[in-house]
Amino acid sequence: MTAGPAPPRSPAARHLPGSASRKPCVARRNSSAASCGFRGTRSRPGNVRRRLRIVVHSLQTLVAAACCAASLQTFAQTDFSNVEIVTHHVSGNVHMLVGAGGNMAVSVGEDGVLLVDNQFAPLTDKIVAAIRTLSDAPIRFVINTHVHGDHTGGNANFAALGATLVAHENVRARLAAADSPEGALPVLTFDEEISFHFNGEEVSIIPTVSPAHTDGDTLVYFRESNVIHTGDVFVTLSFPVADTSNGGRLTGHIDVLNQLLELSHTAAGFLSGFGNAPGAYPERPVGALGRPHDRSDTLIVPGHGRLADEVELLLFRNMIVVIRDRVRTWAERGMTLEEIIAARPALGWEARYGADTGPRTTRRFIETLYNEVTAGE
Amino acid sequence: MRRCLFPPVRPPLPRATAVVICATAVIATPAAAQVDLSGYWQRIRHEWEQPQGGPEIGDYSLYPLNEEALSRSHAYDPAIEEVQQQRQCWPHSIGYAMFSLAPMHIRHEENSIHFRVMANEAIRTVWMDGRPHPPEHALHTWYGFSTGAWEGDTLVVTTTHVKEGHVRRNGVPHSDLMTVTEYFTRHGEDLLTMVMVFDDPIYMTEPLVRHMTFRYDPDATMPEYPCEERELVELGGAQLIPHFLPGENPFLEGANVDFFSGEEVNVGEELRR
Repeated sequence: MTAGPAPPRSPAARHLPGSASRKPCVARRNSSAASCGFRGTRSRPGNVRRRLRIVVHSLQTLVAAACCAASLQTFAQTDFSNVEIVTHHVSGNVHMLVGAGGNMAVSVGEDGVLLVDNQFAPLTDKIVAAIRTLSDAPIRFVINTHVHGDHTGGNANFAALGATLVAHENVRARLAAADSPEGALPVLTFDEEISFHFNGEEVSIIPTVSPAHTDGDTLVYFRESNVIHTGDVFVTLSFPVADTSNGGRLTGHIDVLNQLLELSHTAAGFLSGFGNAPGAYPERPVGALGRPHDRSDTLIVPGHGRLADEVELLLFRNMIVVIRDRVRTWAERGMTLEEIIAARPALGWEARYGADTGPRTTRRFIETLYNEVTAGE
Repeated sequence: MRRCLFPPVRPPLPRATAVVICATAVIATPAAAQVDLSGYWQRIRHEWEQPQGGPEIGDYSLYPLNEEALSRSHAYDPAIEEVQQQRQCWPHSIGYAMFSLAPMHIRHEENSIHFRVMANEAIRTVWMDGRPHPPEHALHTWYGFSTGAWEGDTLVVTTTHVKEGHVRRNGVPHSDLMTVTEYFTRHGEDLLTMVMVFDDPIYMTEPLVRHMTFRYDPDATMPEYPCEERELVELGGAQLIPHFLPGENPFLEGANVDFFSGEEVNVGEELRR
């Protein structure tokens, strides 16, 4: 039985020469993207011309120092004093930073520092200190993978440090609607794929093909380092969550995971899944036994959880499809939501991903699936 | 009389499996603290042998599976291997690789011991220099991260950070939280025993213990094992994700014989209940 949708067509592989600009970013309405060290993706025949919207709020950085992100208010009572920010080299220029909240990715190199997500506002000093163990260069860009406070909570602080905030236009809209301080709002927004040329590689900022965790989900692909930060559309600690109040759609995860599978690649043949990108864990004895092995797996920094690769993406996608099929089939046979929950459609993955408390419960996962499949999705 | 060299395994092993492990160790020949395991080793046929092409769907005898594992196993449709391009050249994980096609080659390095198995050209590194295992958020791989230490003449290997895989070729899963402890003991010139203890908190009710014996083969070579990608089977014009709904796996309709009671059990009927 049954069935995921056909994956989207693979986008053309792009490995454009890196031409990183070291000029200070001077964002101007309708300015050339290149002047900010990034470039709008070229239009392609048959496609709608890509748009890049640059939103300028001149007081932003001044206000930022005096303002806190909404997440700080939400988590004001949380004690972050014991949180340690751990750095972990992934591949090439890219490191993963783990603390409290969503995983971060950071690119360090001659052009400076580019940070993906920034956890909670009270952790900014620790995050900066962790980055300073990797580079003394200025933090020039901060990209938000989605709107949630465990990924954007430090926006205002990093803007105050001089970083340019970049996010999907829906992220800015939702942050603004939530009365976030001006300094926490992204100044560069997009709704189509754009590219930075930074630290000697193309960094593709890719909106997801479908709303999934939220309607502002963004993938960040460091093409030469061969690392993708997925935001919360892929996690390794729980079932996926669709934040429907922020435009999320659970079955959209299937489409986005297919998109990720198209973007990522493994070494040829059965050597896939060894995580053998240059510099990545684990060390393997090239040539110590047998022939040397190619090392080119795309590595995945999930929104939460551990480093992964294409194998985990596939298993996660398959899991969602199997459970969706169970829920859909049982709903079509007339079972109610409570009957379906009692039948435990997620059995097989409950012990690994399930929860009874918190925002990512098994019940919420099944309820959301039920609501979507009975609505015809 | 020599006593069992094996330390307690958490959680405690069932009596029967503990006896097997200890008996294996007791017959081991005394040797220096570090034994040379290097060379080619051929697998000897054993009681875990399965039919060519893999075991029958639904045959999980002797596997201590919980309800989560049974749900996954019953849902398994082998067609998934034919329709998902990414799976075509996947290797067996640590849960199965060491029991797959031999020969196996072992090589000692200054700070490590390397194992290579013919099937899928599996190469494992066992670090012997006391390094710690990686942090929790590190990448997990097909063969995980292994460290080893000598306990008498037995090499004890501990492996973590494994990818989700299978312990039997009919859909019986192991999780990425599994820890594997292996005991390699050389008996004289010719024999090498391997005992593997799979401790999986997600899918097993108790540790799974498997073992295998190898015979030294100085004339062996390591054949190539290229992955030959097959043409994908198109079902409905799309890449599907084959699986069976609970209680609807037709392969489970036949009667299976319960290993312990000898009685026939209709797995499909049991599942429907």
